[in-house]
Amino acid sequence: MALLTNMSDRVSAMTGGNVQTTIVQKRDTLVYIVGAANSYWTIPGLPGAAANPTTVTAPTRATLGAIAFTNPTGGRQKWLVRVALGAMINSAMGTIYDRLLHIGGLSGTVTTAQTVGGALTRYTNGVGNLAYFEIYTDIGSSSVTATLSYTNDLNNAATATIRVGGTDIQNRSHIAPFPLNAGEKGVKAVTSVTLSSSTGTAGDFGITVGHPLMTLTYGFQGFSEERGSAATSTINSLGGDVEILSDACLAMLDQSFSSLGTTEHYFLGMLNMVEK
Amino acid sequence: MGTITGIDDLILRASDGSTGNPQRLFYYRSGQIGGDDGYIARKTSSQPHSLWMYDGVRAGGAIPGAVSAPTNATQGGLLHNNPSGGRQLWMAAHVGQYAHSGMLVVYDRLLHIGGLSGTVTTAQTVGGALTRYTNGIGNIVFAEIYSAVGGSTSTITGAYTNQDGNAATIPINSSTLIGGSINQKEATLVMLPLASGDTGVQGVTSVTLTNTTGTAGNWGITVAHPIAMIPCQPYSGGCLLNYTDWIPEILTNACIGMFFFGSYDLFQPTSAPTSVGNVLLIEA
Repeated sequence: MALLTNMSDRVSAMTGGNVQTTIVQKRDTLVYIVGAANSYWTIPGLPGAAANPTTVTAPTRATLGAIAFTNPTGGRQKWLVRVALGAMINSAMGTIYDRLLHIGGLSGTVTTAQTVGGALTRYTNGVGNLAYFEIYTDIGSSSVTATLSYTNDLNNAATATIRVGGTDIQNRSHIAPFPLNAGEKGVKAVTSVTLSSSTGTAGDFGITVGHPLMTLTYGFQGFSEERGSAATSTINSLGGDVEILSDACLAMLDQSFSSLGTTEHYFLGMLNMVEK
Repeated sequence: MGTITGIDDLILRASDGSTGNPQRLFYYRSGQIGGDDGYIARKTSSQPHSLWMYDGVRAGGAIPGAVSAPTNATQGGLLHNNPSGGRQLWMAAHVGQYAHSGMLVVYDRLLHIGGLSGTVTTAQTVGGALTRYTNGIGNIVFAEIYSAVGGSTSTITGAYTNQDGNAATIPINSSTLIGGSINQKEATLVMLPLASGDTGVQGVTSVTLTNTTGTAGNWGITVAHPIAMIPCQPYSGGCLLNYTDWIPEILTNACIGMFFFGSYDLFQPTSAPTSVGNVLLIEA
C-alpha cells in the first residue's frame, strides 16, 4: 500500500506529477421527493448522459457516463484527495460512489422474480457495497414492496425490502438503497428483485450495486424564502483521502432533506486526485 | 518537475525563500460592468456568471472580438508573472469573500471569441488554436453573453474536436439554452455538455443556434481548463483554498479567469454582487 502518510507527503503528491482534476456538471429537470435520492447516471452534462442499462454488466471508467479519470501507473495507487460540490439544492448529502454492477429494463408491473445476476469485478468481498433500486423511466403510482434476494458479505443468502412506486420513489433518476440485515456489512451479489404487486406502469427500473466512496453535506446556505439557492460543500484531507480502484466507475447521487421550490437541478463539482 | 516537497518547503517558498518568488494577487470585482448599474439587469440568471468583464482590480476584460488565445498579459485575467529559472508555478492559496453562497471556479482561459449573434441560425465559426492543454483532456466549453441577447429561448449546438482529435457534436439538451428569461443577460455563462464519452476539447469549429433569440446582442465561446473549484460561504466560511485542499499548477502564460455559480438572486440590489480575494502563487 502506497499510503499518504502525512500532510507533507500529501503536499508533495499534489505537486509531484500524476495529478488529475476532473470537472462534473449536470443539469436536468427532476422530480424531487424529500428524503429520496437522485442518481445522475443518465443526466446530461459533463460527463455526458449514460445510456439506460439493459442486461446486467459491470461498468468501468470506460463506460459512458462515468466520471473521467486515468488509471494509476508505475505501480502507484490513485487517491481522491478533494471533492468540491455546488448545487441548486439545500440541506442535502452528495455521494461519490464506484458503480460496480447494474441492470435495467426491469418492469414495474411484473410481480414474479426478475433476475439480476452478474458478477462484481471490484470490492468483490462485498464489504461496504450497497444495492440500490434505480428508476430509468417512471414506474407506476401504486406503492408496493420490492424484495431483493442477494448474497451478503458473509456468503449467506438474504433478503431486504423497500417501498417503491407511489409517493416513495417513482420517477426517473430516483434511487434508493436497500437496507442491510443485522450483522451484514455489504452485498456480494444480487440474485433477483420481486415486486409485491404491480405499480401500475411498467416503466424501466433496475438494480445497481455501488460502493460509496465519499459523502459531502450541502449546508442550508440560503434563506427559507430563497428556494433553489446554491449550497456548497467541500471535503479535503480532514475527511480522509479515498482510494480509487483501477477501472472504477465513478458516479454520483444526492439526497435532499428539505423541500425545494424548483424541479431544476443544477450541479457543479470538481474531483482532485493524486497518485502514490 | 518542481515538486513542493512538504509543508516546510511550502512555507519557506511562500515567505520568499528557496526561490519561491511568491506572488500575492489581490483582486476585486465591483459587480458593475463598464461603470453601469447592472445589479438589476443581471439578476435573472440561475446560470453561472462569468467574472471576466466586471470592473475592479485585475478585472475588466474586454469583450473578445476575433478568436484569440489569451495569456497572462490579457486584461481580465489575474495578470500574474510567469515562473522563472525553469521552475513551475503553483497556486498555494486563495482567500476571498463573495456576496453570496456559491462555487467559485478558477480556470485557465485558453481561447475565446466574441461577436456572435443571437439572431443568426446558421453556423457561426469559432476556430482558433489552443496554446496550452493542447491535448484537450479536461478542457471545457462555455458560451458567454457579453451583451444581452433576445427574450426567445434558443438552443446552442456546435461542432468540436474532442480529446482524441475526432469530430464531435455538442448535444442539445436542457444545459444548452440561450436567450429567454434565464440565459439572456450579459455575464451569463452557459456551460456546454460534451458528447457521451468525451473528456475534453481540442478545438471548437462552430456553433449554431436552433432559432433566433430575437436580439443579436453579443455572445461568444470560451474554451477553458478548470484549475480549482472553491466553495464560498459568505455567512460563515468565506471562499478558501489552501494546501490542505489542493495545489494546482498554473501553466506558463496561463490566463487565470474565474466564474461563479451562485444562487438565483446573486445579482440583486440587496445582495451586492461584489467579490474580493487574494491568490498566492509560489514557484518550485
